[in-house]
Amino acid sequence: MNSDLQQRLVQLLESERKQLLQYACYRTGVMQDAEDAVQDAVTKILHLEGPIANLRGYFYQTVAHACIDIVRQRQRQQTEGIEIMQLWHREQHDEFSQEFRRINEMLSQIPEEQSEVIRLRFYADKSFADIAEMLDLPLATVKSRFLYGMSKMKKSLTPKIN
Amino acid sequence: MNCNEFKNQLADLFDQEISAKTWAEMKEHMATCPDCRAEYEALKEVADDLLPKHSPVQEKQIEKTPVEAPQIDLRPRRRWMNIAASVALFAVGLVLGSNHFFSESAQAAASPFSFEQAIQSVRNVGSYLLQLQVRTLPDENYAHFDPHADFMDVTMQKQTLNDHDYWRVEKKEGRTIVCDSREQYMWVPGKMYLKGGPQANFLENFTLFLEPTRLLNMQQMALQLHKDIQSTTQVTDSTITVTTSFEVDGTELSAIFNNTSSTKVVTIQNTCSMPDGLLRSLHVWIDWHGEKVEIIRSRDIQYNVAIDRDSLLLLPAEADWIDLTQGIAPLKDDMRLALLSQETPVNAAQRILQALISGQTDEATEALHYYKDVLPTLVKMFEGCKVSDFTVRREKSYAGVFVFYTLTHPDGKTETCHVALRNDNQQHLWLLDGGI
Repeated sequence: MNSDLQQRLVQLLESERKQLLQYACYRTGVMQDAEDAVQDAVTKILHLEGPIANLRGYFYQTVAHACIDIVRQRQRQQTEGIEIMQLWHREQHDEFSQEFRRINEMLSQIPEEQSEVIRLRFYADKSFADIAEMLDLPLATVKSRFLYGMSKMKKSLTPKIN
Repeated sequence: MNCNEFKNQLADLFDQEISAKTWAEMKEHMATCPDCRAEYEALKEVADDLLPKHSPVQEKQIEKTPVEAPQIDLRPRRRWMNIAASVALFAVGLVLGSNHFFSESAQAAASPFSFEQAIQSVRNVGSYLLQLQVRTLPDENYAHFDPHADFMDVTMQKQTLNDHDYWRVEKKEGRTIVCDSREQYMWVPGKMYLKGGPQANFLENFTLFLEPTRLLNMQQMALQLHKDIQSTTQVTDSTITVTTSFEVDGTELSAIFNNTSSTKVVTIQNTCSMPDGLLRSLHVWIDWHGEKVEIIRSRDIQYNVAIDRDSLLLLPAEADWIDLTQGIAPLKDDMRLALLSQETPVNAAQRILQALISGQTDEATEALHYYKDVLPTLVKMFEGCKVSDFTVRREKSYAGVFVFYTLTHPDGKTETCHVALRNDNQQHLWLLDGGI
């Protein structure tokens, strides 16, 4: 196991603990699944061979993929009627879960590349410069994806507001 | 600013890094242009809808594991069981602060002390008073320790209210730093009065002692990452004392002890009261040329004490503050600007230190802007010295960079020192910001 990578990863986790969990929470909707996703991402990264230049960007990306896998697996289990998911249903009535569903619905209206910038900005608390570095994109592209996404959501909100 | 310029910069209004100047210009434009204002307000409404109002992270932190544990076992938790023995599990477990990771560890279950419990105990305290004795000098910065100096009193007080931190760190009759949750003020009576923004980081890594959670976390991390670490536990009826001894490299302490170059091993003794698990006493020793020297010891640690906000934030009267947030006047010499704006932090540090060593401070007028009042002292301090072995370190908590270097004194003695440089100004010039 690469001890330098392990050390960098632990430092990253320590400094970004809250942002990472919040980011993962607003992807999965469940705190414990968010923790699972972060762990999955760590395990995957620690078993990689070769250097990782942009560890933070790669890490968030891996967490995002892990969240998607977890949500898919959960949906599959739900359709299979696994009793254990009753517990998950019970968690769905708290304020966070309701908020999560509302936000997820809003973000599902826009392309993933735009919603990802918005998630990183609002839930991982990253600046646009950070996001540009993490996603390896020009700063202007990050800002325009943010504005396009926000504008599209604004348009879809307008009829409801009126 | 016209409408096109406003639209080009509209996203900046939703960034966490917008300059005060841009913000003022955009606000001014919105005051006169209803269309642009409406566009911003519509997007802000979307942003308000998206911003989290319920934090699952915070809710999780205050949950009690014993109640939750059986539920966790029922859930389809599958993947990380496969790697239970790996370091990865520990690494994540300690960082996430998830107690159930530790409940599955025989090593943790056998120990009468858990850093996790100690961290949880101090996490939600509203106020904190720490009286330390530190081997340092009254006017020096807080990252400076001197194993030969006598102990001097350092008082640290912190109050947290609605997620805002107010604190005061004071060396008796010496360097004092006050944070009113936004601005930071640092002064040495009669010598220096600096005012900085939220990122000023005047306290440098000594901030570890202002946040006991970080101090405990750091030891916990060291324990998990280094198998050969020495740790002893002593238990009495009312206290548990844990002493850890570890190499500072790779921990947050390495930045604190950078001026004591021979320091490789640090020993920290933490005493917690039972059953509340609160940290009550702290001692720190460093390995100094083969000798174990105590350099920090606590006299008193109190939690949730009544702290008078006015006294906490009291500033010296009639101080002439140098405002670091104001920046310097733009450099008009194009050739010099072209030269300086291409400098790396190491180039800049070399130039600044050479200017001080040679006494030709004109070579670094811009970079020494905040130190212009103390230049003769600095020149005298560096007279006859040599500098070498420059390395750069960046830390997330600081907007600039730290450049470490070896300082060779005229008598041949060497020590590792650092300067803090930042270039978040209009022309991206590297300015000396601390450490000297």
